[in-house]
Amino acid sequence: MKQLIIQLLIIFIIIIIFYNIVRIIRTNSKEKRISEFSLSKKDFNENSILERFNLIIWNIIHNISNILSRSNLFLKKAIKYEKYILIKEEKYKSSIDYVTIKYLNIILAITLYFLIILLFTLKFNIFILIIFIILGLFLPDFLWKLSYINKCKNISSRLYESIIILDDNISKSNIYNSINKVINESSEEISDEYQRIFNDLSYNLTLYQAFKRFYERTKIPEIKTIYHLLNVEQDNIEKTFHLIRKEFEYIDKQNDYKHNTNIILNVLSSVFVLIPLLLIIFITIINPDYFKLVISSLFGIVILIVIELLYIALIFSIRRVLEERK
Amino acid sequence: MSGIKKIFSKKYITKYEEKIKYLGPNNKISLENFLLTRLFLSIVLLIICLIIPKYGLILAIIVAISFYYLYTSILIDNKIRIRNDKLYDEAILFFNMLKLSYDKTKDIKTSLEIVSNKLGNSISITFRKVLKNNRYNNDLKEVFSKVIETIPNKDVKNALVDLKECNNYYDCLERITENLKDKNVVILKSKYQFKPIILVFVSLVFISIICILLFNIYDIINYLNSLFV
Repeated sequence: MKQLIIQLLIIFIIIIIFYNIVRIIRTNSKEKRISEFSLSKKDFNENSILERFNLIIWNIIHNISNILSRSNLFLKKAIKYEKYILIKEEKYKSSIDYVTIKYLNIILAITLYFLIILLFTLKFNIFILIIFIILGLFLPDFLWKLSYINKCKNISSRLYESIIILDDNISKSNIYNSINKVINESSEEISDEYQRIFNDLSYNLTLYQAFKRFYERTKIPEIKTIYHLLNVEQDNIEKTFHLIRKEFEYIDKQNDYKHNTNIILNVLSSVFVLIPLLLIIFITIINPDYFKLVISSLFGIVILIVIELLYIALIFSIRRVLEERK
Repeated sequence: MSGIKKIFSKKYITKYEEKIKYLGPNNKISLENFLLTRLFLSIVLLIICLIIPKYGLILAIIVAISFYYLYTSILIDNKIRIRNDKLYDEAILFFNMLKLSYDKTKDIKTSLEIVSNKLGNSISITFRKVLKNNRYNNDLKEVFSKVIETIPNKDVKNALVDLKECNNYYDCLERITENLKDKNVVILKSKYQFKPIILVFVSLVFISIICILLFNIYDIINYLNSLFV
């Protein structure tokens, strides 16, 4: 009976979605016919369904964040998320929102677990629930960190470009105008970081301090060269940036070579990592009982553990070869 | 120091003194500790292995000699090799900063003091320490000589010798940095050339062992069963 109700509910939701899609398609076709004789849709500041949905979710997050921000404990926890917020996002995002999202995610994970139990009529298991809670707690952190690493990689690959702009413009104008030029002409990530440098300078920090803060945020090793050189000579910035540019030319030459070799290495390593897995799949397809018999004996389990350890050792050795010793 | 002088020859001590200097300013291993612990542990291992009957003597000699060399290799040689690789980047940054500072101060000693105080890598720390010890000594060549003694990297050593002997410091620094950059690129290329070969070799060793275990799993189980049952 319970399952029947859930099934009916799902069917009802699907019908509503289908009805809405049909309605949108029909509206669109009508709009096309009369568009030439009417004001275009762009003239109205209308939000799409997804945007409205997004706004609702952010409203909920902000409301909860307001409550959480009364506690010093949550505010302290939120400090580490500050670096994830872009300058343009600062208007509607704060670091405490990230804490809220984490807790909301736990509630979502628990709800999802109970929904799965209801849908597939499974037995309640406290350990699986704990796994869901842990996933809910750490998955957002993992995803944010991953996206931040990607952001730093993008910054690292485009840093040379920004140094060229700075070096070319410093001789013509002052440092503020040159940084503004980088902000306007570079990609989103670089532009965001240079906006922060600009803000730091406007708070009376030196260029050396601003770039050091840039390094502390992103941990990109190339920035170390910039702030160390700025530390020695800040009066004649033109000369310093010319030297920095020369350094980056050299770093870029190195990176080009590394990149070309890394393509081959990455292909090779992924092939070698996949070979043992493919071999096991192949054996299981040919003889499905091959591993069943092995598991039944104690020595078989021990050998399987040894094989797994060897596979892990293979992955670690490949990583060791791939990474540089610097 | 007097203890090890009674045990080891002067030549032997000088050799290891040089090696320990190459470890850089952050090194925590002292010469006496290293030589005495190595000797003591080798003797202990030799005695333990001698207790084993039948092949005890051969095993004791093999274990003691391998430990003697492995201990040096892990504690000293490996660390020197790592520092040697790092020194290129450290030196390039150091000489670049020195060039900028020298252009402003026109005095190499002042520039060396400024840069060594502002930078935190091993070359700058060594310079900082040596300059501090030679505060009342105006001979900069002595400072350079003492720093050169602590540098294991041949190219950085040559660069410092060049700087020590030259008259026009700015041109010399320009030349040195360019040379080091070129050398570093050449070394990087040679290192990367062998990476695919190493990767293939290491992976094939692991994969072949996994294959042998997977394909002969029943024979191995039977063999182990026959041994223990």
